[in-house]
Amino acid sequence: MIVTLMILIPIIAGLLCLIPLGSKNLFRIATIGALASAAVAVYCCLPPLKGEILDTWIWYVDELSAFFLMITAVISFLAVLYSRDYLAVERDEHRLSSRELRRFYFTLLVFISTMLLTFAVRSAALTWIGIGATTLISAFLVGLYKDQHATEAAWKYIMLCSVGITLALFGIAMLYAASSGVIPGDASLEWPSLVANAVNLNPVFMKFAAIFFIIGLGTKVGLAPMHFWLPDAHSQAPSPVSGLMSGVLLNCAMYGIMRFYIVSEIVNPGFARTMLLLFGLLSVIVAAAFILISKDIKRMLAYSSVENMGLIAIALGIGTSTALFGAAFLILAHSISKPLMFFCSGNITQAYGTRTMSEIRGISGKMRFTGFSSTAGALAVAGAPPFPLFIGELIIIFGAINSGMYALAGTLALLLVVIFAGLTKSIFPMLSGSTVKEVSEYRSLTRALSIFILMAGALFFGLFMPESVENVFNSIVAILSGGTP
Amino acid sequence: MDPILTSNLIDIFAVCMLLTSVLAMASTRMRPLIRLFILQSLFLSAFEFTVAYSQDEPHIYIMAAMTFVIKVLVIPRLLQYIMDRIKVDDKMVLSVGIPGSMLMSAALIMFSYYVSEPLVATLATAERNTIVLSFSIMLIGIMMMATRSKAVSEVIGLLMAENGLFLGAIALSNGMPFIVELGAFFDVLMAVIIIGIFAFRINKSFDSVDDTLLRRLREE
Repeated sequence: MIVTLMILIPIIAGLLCLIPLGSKNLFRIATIGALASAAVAVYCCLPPLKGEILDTWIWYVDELSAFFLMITAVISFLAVLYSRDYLAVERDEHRLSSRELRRFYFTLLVFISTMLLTFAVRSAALTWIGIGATTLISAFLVGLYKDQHATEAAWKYIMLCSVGITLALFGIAMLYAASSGVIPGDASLEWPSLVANAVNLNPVFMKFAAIFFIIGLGTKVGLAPMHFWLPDAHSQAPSPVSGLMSGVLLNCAMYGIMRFYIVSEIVNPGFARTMLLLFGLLSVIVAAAFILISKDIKRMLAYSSVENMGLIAIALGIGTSTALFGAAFLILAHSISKPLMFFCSGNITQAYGTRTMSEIRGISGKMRFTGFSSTAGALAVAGAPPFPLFIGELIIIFGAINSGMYALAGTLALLLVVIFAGLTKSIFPMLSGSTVKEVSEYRSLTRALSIFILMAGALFFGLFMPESVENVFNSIVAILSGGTP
Repeated sequence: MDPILTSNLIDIFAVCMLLTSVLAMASTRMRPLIRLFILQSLFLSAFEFTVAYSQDEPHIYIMAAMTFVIKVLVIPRLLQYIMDRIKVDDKMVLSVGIPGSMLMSAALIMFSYYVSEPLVATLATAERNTIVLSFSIMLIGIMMMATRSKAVSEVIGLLMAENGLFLGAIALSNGMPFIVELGAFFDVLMAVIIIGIFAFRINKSFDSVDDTLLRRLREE
């Protein structure tokens, strides 16, 4: 019931946004809708995070789902909060009409609702529907500006991801074939019963299912070599949406892979792990290369998302409890840091009217707050201490060393240094220096507030690990290694 | 009906679907391509109907009806209408020629036989062929998306890959829960993509999608 409410609130708020009530009311409805859904999400996730699994109707929320749900709902609210004045500027500069603005909020809120749906359902088929629906809806957000670049990015995005979800659906059919005769009737695609009966599943079918499912959803996660849509889509979307897509949308498909990984690892130990390890390593390598040569700030950040998703895949590929802990922690760290940096880059690109990094100079002098938060954001995204991304990366490298993969650990450390250098080399020159352009800080409370909350969150999780949070991570590790918590 | 007859019919319909896929790879014009897609969907619908009849599965009857209404009637008409409205040129743009496409299709079919060998060993005869055919149709559809560069032909490639997907999914998983919902969702997805072509007026801008436009979004 409470879960249904959480999914429905954004949809209702979205529909209300379509009614022309003036822009003030539009923002108000959207913000209240996102806040209400975040509040309900937090309320309904707290018991599962303490170990009381919520299991009603089609909903199933355990620690893993609750963890993702909580991140999604909170980051989504912050994105809606940030988008308010960002879009007001876009409208005042005539890049968007009021009508497009109303449609934007409708799409954005439905998008949030589909992401929440993905994490909260019990059946693999419904998870798949959720992931497909997020693609469908977010393509409109990518193509919002309707110019040639945005249209092309949206088209590429929806085409590549449609192939991905087609393959993933075939994986689900294989999964069903593997479970037929083992699990009776309607429970045969449900994640909990798949885990419980995993030892009896047909291993040959499960191998095929793993190939299709991981390649299919890997496309949506942005694992190389299926990542081509990602930098285009993330750079063409408006910045609040970029933050949302990088920070939480990628998690949706990663969650699907994780759920599948749990089952697959019991049936064919090592099979899914090897696949994820290879895709993950390739992603980090590709991301490192493209981060070095990127000239567009948002594309560079998008490649950094490819890197982080690759690292998470590698951690799943290592598969020891240390590495899995690192994977879960990195998801949290990435979901906070990446929207932070995308929101900062939204301030920057809007003020300077360009995304080309060599044309942006002197942010710290002209925009004090953005300069400060971008410094923090850049360090957070690049993975410098005391920010949580650093800790996540370190845990994963430790995981690799602990399981005797010294070559992997060495390669990762080297690549991460390259990526750190690439990101800082491009971002820090923008902060210093001076510019002839007329640039000034946007005086906006909501923008500053959302950035500030993310900054505080990043610092908090970088410095502290309360026992309750650690318990959540430990139970996620237990779920990921196939145990029933 | 006689079980041997139904299993033969199932095989025939599945083989015909692969044949239409191969023919589609040899097509250089949009309208014949759409007609081939109609034909393939018709075979898929007939396949689903036969499976539904032989296994007495109400789910699959719904799938068969849905395939017929949406893929044989609605989607082709929508595509035709959009091609007329935004004046898409009937001529296709191929980045691989017809002989090359034929060779690649043949290679993909052989590849499908090769990779599905371990799977096929565990299956009954009828399903065995259908799975290989379904793999082939999916791969050929995806190759069509990769080598035909106009929006409409890319969509048809995806639709054909999807036909292959449902061929395999139904053969493998009679009575899979949510199969109708999954099918319905896919149809919504396709409809939205097609309407997206219209909404964004992708007629000419993607003519050259494989070269110039893609390069523009790359790192210079």
